[in-house]
Amino acid sequence: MAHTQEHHHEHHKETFISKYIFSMDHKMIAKQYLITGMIMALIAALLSLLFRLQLGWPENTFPWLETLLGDWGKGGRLDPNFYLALVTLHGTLMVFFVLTAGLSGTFSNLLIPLQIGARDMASPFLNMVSYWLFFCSSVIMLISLFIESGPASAGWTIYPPLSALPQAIPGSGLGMTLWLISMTLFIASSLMGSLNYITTILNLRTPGMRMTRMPLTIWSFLTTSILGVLSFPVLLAAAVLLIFDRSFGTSFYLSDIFIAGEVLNRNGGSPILFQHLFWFLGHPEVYIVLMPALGITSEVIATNARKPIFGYRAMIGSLIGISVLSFVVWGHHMFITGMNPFLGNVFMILTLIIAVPSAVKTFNYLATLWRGNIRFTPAMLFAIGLVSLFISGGLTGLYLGNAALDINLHDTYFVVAHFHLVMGSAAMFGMLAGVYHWYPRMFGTLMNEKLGYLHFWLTFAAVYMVFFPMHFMGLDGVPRRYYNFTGFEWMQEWGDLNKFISISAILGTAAQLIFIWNFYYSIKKGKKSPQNPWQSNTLEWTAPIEERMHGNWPGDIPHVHRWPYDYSVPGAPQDFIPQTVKDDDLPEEIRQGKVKPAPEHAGTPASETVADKLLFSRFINLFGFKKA
Amino acid sequence: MLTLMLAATAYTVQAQPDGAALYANNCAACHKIDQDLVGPALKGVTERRDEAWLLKWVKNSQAVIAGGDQYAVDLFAKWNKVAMPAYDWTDDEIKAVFAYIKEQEKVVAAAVPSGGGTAASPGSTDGGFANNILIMLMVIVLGATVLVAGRTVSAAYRAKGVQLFNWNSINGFLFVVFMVVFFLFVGWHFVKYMKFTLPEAASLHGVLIDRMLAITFWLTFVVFIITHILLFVYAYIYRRRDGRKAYFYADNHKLEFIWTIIPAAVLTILVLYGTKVWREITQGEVSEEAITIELFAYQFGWKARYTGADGELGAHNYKLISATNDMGIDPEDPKSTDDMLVPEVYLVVNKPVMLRLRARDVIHSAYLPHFRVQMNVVPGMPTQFYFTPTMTTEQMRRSTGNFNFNYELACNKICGAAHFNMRMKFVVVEQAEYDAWLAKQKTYFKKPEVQTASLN
Repeated sequence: MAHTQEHHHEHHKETFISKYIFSMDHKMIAKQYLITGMIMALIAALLSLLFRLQLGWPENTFPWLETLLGDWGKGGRLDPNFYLALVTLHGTLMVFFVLTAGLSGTFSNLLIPLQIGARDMASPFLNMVSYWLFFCSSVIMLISLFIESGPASAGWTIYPPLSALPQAIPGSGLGMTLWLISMTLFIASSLMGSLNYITTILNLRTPGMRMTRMPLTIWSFLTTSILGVLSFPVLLAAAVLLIFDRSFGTSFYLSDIFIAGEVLNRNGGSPILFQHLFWFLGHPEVYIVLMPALGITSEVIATNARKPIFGYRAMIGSLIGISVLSFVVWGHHMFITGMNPFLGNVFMILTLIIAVPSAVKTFNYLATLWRGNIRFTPAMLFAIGLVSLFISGGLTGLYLGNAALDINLHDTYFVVAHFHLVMGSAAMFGMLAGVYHWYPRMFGTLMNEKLGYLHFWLTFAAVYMVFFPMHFMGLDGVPRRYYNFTGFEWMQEWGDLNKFISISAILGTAAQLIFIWNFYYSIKKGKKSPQNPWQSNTLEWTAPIEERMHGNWPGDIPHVHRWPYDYSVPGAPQDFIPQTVKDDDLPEEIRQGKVKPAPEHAGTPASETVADKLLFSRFINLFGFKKA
Repeated sequence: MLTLMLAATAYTVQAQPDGAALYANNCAACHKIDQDLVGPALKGVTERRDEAWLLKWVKNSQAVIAGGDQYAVDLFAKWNKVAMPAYDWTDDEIKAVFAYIKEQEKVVAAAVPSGGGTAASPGSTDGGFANNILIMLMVIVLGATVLVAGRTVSAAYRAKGVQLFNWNSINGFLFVVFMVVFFLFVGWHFVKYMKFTLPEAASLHGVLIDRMLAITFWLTFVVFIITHILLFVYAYIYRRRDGRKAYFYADNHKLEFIWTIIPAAVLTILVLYGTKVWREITQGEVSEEAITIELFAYQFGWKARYTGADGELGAHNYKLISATNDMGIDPEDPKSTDDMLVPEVYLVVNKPVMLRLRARDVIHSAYLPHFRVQMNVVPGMPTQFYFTPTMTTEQMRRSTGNFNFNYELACNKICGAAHFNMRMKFVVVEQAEYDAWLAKQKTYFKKPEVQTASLN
């Protein structure tokens, strides 16, 4: 084909810069996003360890802190202002730079063209610009760690007036300006990315790839991008107004303020306006973070359970339901801001409705595992871990979404526990599942599985050890963002538990080093991957894995003849039927629909079914000697 | 150390300026005796500067800085330009605070050896941390040893053509192990930490909230346990084995309908009950005999104003805020003449309270968890919270068995460096005790000359 010829021609001209730096190949951009995201995640994790050190051992001094941080660690103790800066930066980096850009940026870029059968994004150039804006925004955000007045310190939600007035906290000086510039670039990057993803998905699907034949990953990227396009501009507006308030003397968010010994001549603004604008993005944002992880999980669970995802259309429906509802629930972050209590009723009702599509997703995952033939790759372990975290964290949403209960739980450690489980850790698990699953697609090699198992079990345990106990602190009314808990008598009893949490956090972070080592080591030294390592149905495994060429397929793009979840179809020669297989190529009985999925086709030998019922009886055979 | 100070404040005679109480209520948020916090350590402060300067500084630090005093300017810059609030105190009151600081220096100095000086007993302060690190290192070494040993053994067996470990089954089984350990971990937390959580609600509406909490808890707990059992047990029993084939099962509309409707129905109940409780708390009727109290939040502390005999708070305007009128109360308003400024908030048991909330600089949040009360305090937008306390401080002490117990107000919206130290004591008493206490309180405008404060 002419197109192919032309493409190969391009391929030979590639220089180092065009291949690795200003690349327009979606696969390379995905790797750029992934590696930048991993670096940001590591930094954000280390920042959290610094403040966990303070919370775990508030009475101790660590002289090396002064060596490392200078005045911010004077006398071996964290400065309270810098503590708040750490909390702020940890949140910002994790929510936006790791779990929005790192997660969506990596997997939307990698999978959208490959799974829908396109040669690249609709606009490879825009895609490249999107990454480089993200890169600049990351650099600017990190620079704020190296300025005298310190990084932004008003929490990742940067509520004014605290964020608007440098008199209120040192971090609201230059640090906040850098935060706002960085986020403005970030939003631009995110919008470019999202528009590109939507356009690509809607227009560049290969023949036969109907919307209802797309893998759920693609569906989740689509709904995520739509959320991003509709909500990020609102954050941009909020940020621009804040920039005006900070630098040009306007009063959008300021009124009736006396600070640092003087009356400010600012009138008529409302700090609550900012919160409305912020959470209009902020709440969809948690789904922007979570939905790609859920999409990845759907794909990984179906592939490794060797079963079709249960209720494919219900899964799409619940993604759409969550997306629509996520725009009308932002007020549940504001029940006790003094917002009209009538609105509290409305937002409570809408918020709790979101639990319905979320419950449907959970049950569908469980139904997919039921009577599967589960292969525990590291990706599958993380996917199952995600379901557990999604349940644990999701259920506490029923407490916080209830305005009456929120009165006492708002801004306590209960909230910290809730969103770290359901949004932070669950999305992180989705990301890790994705990395393990599509690593061969990215690098052509396999990661070490046993290190993957170790990484998973340590991480899974550490996540619960860190975040589960926090629920109890929240039920005791212990507020978040406190520098220590030694002042109030009622919080002092949590000292030991805080030590336990901090130690668990250090362990959990240390476990990530196993992953990072495995990741970099396996790029060059990993075992070569077969073309379709997980016997998967989707199109990305039909593009040559050896030569990761720009354009994806050397010849024609593959055509699609079926949905992506034909796993273990009764009567089929293998337990998977790739999307490219035509019906004509299948045995007669399947083609004519004569084989109906029925229990007798389940294929479980009768002897095993009995054992299945005695749940734990077979574990003796676990270590049984078998001929390899 | 702070508990020490509290203990010292508890039973002192009111006649002379009470340095300890003044210190605890005004200074302790930002200063410690022997440690820098938001502001410098106060140890030796009277040696560092002469008394005249210190008196000027405490009364209005911003004025000293504006006056161009080089030491003051440098000090302000050194401490991140966090302005120290102005204190409208008499010289005697300020000196009482200095005396208290002197006294505490000795207490702190005496406490150092027993508290584990670095020279006397190395490792006792750092001991906990060092031990933990040691334990972690041991765990890592142990893990590595097991790993290496496992590798060697399995390699030996592999050489003989025997697969020692079936990793798929091991991982499946580990999910069941994880489930058991996880449930034990959860159960242990309930046993160990539930008693640390808040005691029974000390307010009328708090009881409703607690009931709602209990209902939500049992509901979610059942779902939590069931779904986790299904998840982990399925992972184990449906692990891949030779000759096994998965059951092709893509859809079942009836099943999906059921598990959409059941959560929806349960949620409807939760929502209806939740909105009912919410309405009762926020939109209930306000009793006429309610005590009205204004809580005023600033970086970093609280002030409380009572209405006085007229039952109404005087008008306020933030433009009136100054060193001598730090809540910006309008002196022209006749209603403000009898308003009272109190160091601690006293409430009458079973008598409703209307908290009117006002902020001076940034957003704060008035959080009284024992009463299940929380409302943000927003500059430029007055907010309020209405509730009825039902247990006196004494009753609470008896029912919790903690005789140091005090209701305390905390700030629960990030507001700056000393956010974690914005405290104010609340005391719930019987009507008679309340009346006796109220009679002793001073009015807001104690000196006639203050009333000449003008608009800026």
